[in-house]
Amino acid sequence: MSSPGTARPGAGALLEIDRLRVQIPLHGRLRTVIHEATLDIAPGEAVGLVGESGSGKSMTARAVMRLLPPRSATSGSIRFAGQSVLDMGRSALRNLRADQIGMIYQDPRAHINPVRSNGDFLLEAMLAQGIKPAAARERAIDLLAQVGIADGGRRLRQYPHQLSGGLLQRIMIAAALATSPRLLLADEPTTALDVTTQSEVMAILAELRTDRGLAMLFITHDLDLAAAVTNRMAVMYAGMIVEIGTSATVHETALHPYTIGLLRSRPEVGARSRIQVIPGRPVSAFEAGPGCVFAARCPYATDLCRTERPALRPVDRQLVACHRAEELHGRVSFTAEQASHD
Amino acid sequence: MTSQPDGQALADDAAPEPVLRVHGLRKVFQVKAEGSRQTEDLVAVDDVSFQLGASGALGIVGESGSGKTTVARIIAGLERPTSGTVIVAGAPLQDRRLRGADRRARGRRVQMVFQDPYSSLDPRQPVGACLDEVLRFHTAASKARRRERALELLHQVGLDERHENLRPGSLSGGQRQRVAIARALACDPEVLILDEAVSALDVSVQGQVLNLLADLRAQLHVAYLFVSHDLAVVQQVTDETVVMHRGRIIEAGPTDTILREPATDYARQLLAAIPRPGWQPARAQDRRDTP
Repeated sequence: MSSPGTARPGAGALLEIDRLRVQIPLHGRLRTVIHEATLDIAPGEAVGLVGESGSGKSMTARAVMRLLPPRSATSGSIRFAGQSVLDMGRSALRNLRADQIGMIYQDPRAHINPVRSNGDFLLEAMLAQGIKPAAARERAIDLLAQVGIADGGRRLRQYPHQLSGGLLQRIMIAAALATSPRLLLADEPTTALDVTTQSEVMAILAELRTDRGLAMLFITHDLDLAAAVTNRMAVMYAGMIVEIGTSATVHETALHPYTIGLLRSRPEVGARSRIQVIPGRPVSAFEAGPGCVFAARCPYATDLCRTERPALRPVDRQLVACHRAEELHGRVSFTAEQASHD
Repeated sequence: MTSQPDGQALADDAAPEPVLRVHGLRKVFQVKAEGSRQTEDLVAVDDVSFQLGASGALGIVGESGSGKTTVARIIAGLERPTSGTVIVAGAPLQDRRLRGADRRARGRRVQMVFQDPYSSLDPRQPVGACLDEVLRFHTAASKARRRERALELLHQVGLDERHENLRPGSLSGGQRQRVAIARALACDPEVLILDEAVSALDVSVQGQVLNLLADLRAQLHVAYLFVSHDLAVVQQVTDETVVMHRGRIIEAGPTDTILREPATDYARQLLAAIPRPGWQPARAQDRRDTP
């Protein structure tokens, strides 16, 4: 994997998400889950999408695959290799999901059928493509070797419950890569794993991506992990992308108060001190007011922030959606006192 | 103090009587053997010994399957050890002769906060009733006094009267975990076991709860047994740490020392696996995961 500081490649984005807005039905009413997301990924590039629960990061990935609940309302555009995903017909969509984009989820146990063998799961997409069973099996064993599973033949005969979480996640990665996709959507793929297993799974993903020139949208709540494994990253809060830039820039010189607060919220190994915390709790997109989605928790919010939603705009070396980004540059801090309500 | 791989005494000799003393703890589960009807032994905890001083804070660190949660559950009285002893404030925890009030009094000394505040609270029970139930069971206080105490507890964990009549469904994850902490503190335990108590929380809320735990420990002089896989979080809450691997303690000592100069390869691996910018994920051992 190239270093996180690499400037983003020029034209010819593989995935272009432009002013995506998503509403999903809840109790008979449409509820906004994404206010505005604009993001693109170049071939071979790894882009992080970082946020807390309810930020809309998983919904963004599902919108790309058109896997939103029925009767959802989507506006804006999503283009994959130049084609509009939102306008795709059934067969184009089937091709997109089956061959072009692979997806890995957080909890492999919830996404692999427990009563079918690992082989059934891994071979399904290949057989649907018309590959002969014997060839598919051979290919599956080869894929398993690539994700570090040596005795593939035995693993294919086994069932999901016979495998540890780390091993099962590798099976899911192998399945996502079975049809040689060009983009991988990885939704918190290591959150349920131990740190040493996470390290291995990330190493495998990095290797496979380099070998195949595979692009990745890496969804996580962990800013440090995203900074380590992606070229660029976007920080999402309450259905808005609030900051985006090269991963090193965002991690070292974050400009949006939310990004800064999130970075300070994590204790640092080797330096025990009281944690600076963002007051309050993360809100969902539909709970955010008309202004900046972060205004209710931001110690620097003004009347303007509460009434007018800031757009993403270039400041320094990144894009930031904050009215006061220049003014607050280098001055943002959060209290370490006990905030009483979250 | 240097680390002692066999997990013997952690406290200084001069220190007062530890509030918790665990000696030679062993737990064997019977599990079904793969591909046969017979059972085989799974040693989850093997010869674990440590002690926790009054108002001290000890971290138990390890990965899944290391036995850390089993140790916590034994100390909380939720699991019986196969052998070994747990002594809380000078009295053995596993004493089958105890009945009625004595048994309850013993249970009061050790309380536990679980990982998932979505499943550890009764969804139909309002917050006030949840605290009142514990107080009614463990104390002889009057109704008015119990309510007073419940409100005091809510304030201590950063909640207030407005939350008293709410059910868990109307609370955020962070608020639920605060209620779980208040419930565990209700009858002044000597040892509070926190089993991955902040792991399920959003990052921005996790920081708030970690600060709260630091405040409560300073105010209440309760001892913490803090079980976690997350070294950064353990550092924030504990003074001493034991590292568990495959059921055994492989390293023990002051938390700062373990984080700065880990003595074992395994602890070094755990530290190296923490992501940070510039970090290169390592594909160190392909066999480790193979059962």
